[in-house]
Amino acid sequence: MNDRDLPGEQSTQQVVVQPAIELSGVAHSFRSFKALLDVTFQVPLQSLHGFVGPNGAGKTTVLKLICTLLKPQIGTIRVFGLDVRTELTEVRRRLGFMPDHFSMYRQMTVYEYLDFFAAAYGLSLDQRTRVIADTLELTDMGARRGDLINGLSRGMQQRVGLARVLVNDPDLLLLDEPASGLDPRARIELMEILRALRSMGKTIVISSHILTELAELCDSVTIIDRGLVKYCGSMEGLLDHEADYPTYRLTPGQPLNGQFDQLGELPGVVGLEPVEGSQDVRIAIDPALLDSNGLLRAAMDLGITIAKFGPAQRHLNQAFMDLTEKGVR
Amino acid sequence: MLGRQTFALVERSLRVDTRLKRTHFVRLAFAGLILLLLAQVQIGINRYSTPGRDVFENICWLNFFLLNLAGLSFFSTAITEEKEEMTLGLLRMAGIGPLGVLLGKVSPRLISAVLLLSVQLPFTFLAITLGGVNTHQILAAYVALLTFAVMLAGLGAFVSTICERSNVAVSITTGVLAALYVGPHLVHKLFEGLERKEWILPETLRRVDSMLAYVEGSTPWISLFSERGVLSTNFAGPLLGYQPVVDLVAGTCFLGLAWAMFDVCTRNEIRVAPARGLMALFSKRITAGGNRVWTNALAWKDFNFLTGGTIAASIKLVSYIILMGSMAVLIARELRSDLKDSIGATLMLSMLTALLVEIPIYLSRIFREELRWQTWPDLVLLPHSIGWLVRNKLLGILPTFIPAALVFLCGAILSPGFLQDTLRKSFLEAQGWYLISQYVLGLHLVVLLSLGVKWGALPFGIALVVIPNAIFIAACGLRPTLLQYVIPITLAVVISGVCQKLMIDKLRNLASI
Repeated sequence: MNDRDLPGEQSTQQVVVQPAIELSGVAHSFRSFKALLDVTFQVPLQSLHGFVGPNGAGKTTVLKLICTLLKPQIGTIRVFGLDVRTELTEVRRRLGFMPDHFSMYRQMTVYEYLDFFAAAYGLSLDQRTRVIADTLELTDMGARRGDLINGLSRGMQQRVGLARVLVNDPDLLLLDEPASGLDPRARIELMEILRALRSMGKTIVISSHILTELAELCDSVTIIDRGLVKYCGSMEGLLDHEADYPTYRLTPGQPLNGQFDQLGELPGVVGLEPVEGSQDVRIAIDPALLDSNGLLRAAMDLGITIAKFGPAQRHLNQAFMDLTEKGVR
Repeated sequence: MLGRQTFALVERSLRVDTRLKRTHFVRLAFAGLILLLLAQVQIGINRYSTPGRDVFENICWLNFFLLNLAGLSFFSTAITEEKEEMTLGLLRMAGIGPLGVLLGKVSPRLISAVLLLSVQLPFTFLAITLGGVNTHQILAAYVALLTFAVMLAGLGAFVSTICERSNVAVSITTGVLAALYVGPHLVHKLFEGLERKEWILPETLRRVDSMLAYVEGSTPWISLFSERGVLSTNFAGPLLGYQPVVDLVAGTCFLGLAWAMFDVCTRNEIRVAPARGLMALFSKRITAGGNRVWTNALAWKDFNFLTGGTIAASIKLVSYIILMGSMAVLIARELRSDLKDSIGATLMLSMLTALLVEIPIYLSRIFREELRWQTWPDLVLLPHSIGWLVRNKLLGILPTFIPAALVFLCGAILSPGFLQDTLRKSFLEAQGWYLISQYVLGLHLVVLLSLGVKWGALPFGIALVVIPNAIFIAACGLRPTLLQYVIPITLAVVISGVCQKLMIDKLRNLASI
């Protein structure tokens, strides 16, 4: 798939000035299993970008390719214009990756852990002291600096993990499922930290399989499924983004009884479903056979009193379901 | 009591084991090795007075060595690996009782060991045709080895039930086996010294010795290889002699104990974290800003958390000084001349041995711990090459060898002549290069294996070096020619190089998993 095939391509082109991440025609296989078929997308600089897909879509593989843990087999990946294949060390200096599992030195105290990574990045003693104090403050872990990591709750370990990826002051943060396993309070607090980081000018990529979790947080989103990018663009664009057929929402003046089935049988109607918690129906039509005026007229001919009619704005979950396929690979 | 669920785990393990190609390859390789040994003796038959017995004795030594390795790694981690992966609770929730878990985890391992021994039997009967050994001896030897395997399996089940971590279980099993092999000898020496000082009666020494004989006789070490053992000429003892009976009883008792203590020892599922060990004493000081991570962070981490840090090194130094000091006093009492040289040589040889043992132990853990706790990708993401990471991790374990090196230095000062002689033998004679090359090869194999196997990289690495070298020595005799040395040295260098390449590739790949 090339740029032109991507839904939401227009909005991406408008936002991108200089991309923080640029993937072009990336494919990757693990033996005979093709994890990524053709992945092309860009992440704008200083944005909070959601990277969403169902389980097994290839999210972690993409993140590992970006952060240089995997070597690209096909295609190119650039981080701040640097090729991950040839300028690996410089790329590593500029990014911080937090994996989805808690891979921590749990025998260390919080302070030792951060000090260890700060020293490993080559920071001087003074720099380390300052950076650790800052990251502890940002993640609100200052009071637990002397605690063993093993004794911390999952949410706190997540904060320490985040503090760790910040010690080298990276421009790009890659967070793989950072909110998984966290309780609602810890999730909200994590999101607040991420907003604070964005305001500091960092580019943040968060992978998740729950789109709604990222809706309020992210400026842009990439949806991936079965190794292919299904959407890349703004969050609003995703909601407005058309499915295969234009969809309208009809609010009847009185409950539909037999008329519901009759609506479904109209020529040109390709989808019909009730909207949960209301009398409304969502109707998808084939524009070659029926337009919105025709649909409205046909509904009135069936004796339906129409209280309201207009294009249906889909819920994020609906958009996600439309874009991704059923079942697992 | 022994319902279907008790054997569910056994059945599953056996199914999995049977389907693995590796299982059959190992057995095939073992049978091939025996045929190789037989062929080698057959070719040089004129050099042996009892060729059949000689080859069979070699096979028995090999089996005995491998059984000990299995005891240290295979059996002693049976239950601890479930604890570490926190899957023991799931097994219990599935309705599998303590005995079911124990049998399910231990018996497939025991069966694997038994099958490995059984597959050899038809081939070892060929040794009879070479002369010097009879059917009764072969059967008695296999009974001795099989019952020893049962004892090791029981011991492993017990130790891994009471321990939380596999490394602790392995250490305890090592201690038990060492006590079994070396303990009686040390106790005898101690009582002999006391008797010489006339602090105890000769009668007491005889009694102690007779008791020690029972302990010593409980392993194939004595039952097979002693002067009156199964492999001695004209052996006519019973198939089920003292050692097989004791080992069977001991194995069953250990299993029974493990069963009895299973619930008590596994009641609480504790999340196992990497050990902080002696570093725990520092935690407050570090957080107070007193101690900080070194500029070489990797070396700091491995020195403190892998080797135990300054405290462990100090304890080691004090222990070596006490041990070596006592040894020096003993030598001083025994010898009247060349005292300085003898003490110096003893210090150097003891510390060299300590170093030769310590180095592979730490090397087997240096990457294993990172992989086990999934921290390796975090290190790979640092802006450094894999080679840099490896070098700095190695630097981290170097300070732990300082105590042994210091005592060695003291020995060198006391006996410079011995040091010169040793260095000359090591570097100017082919035998020295041969030994060094094989040791270096062993280190490479241990590290490479530690990247692939959960437990037992150290014993299997040793086995991979010892077995071919045993064959080499058997083929060439104890004094091979210079030309004969060239082959193993060259092979060791080439294989070590290949190992290094494989290690780097493997370390790179493991970061992305």
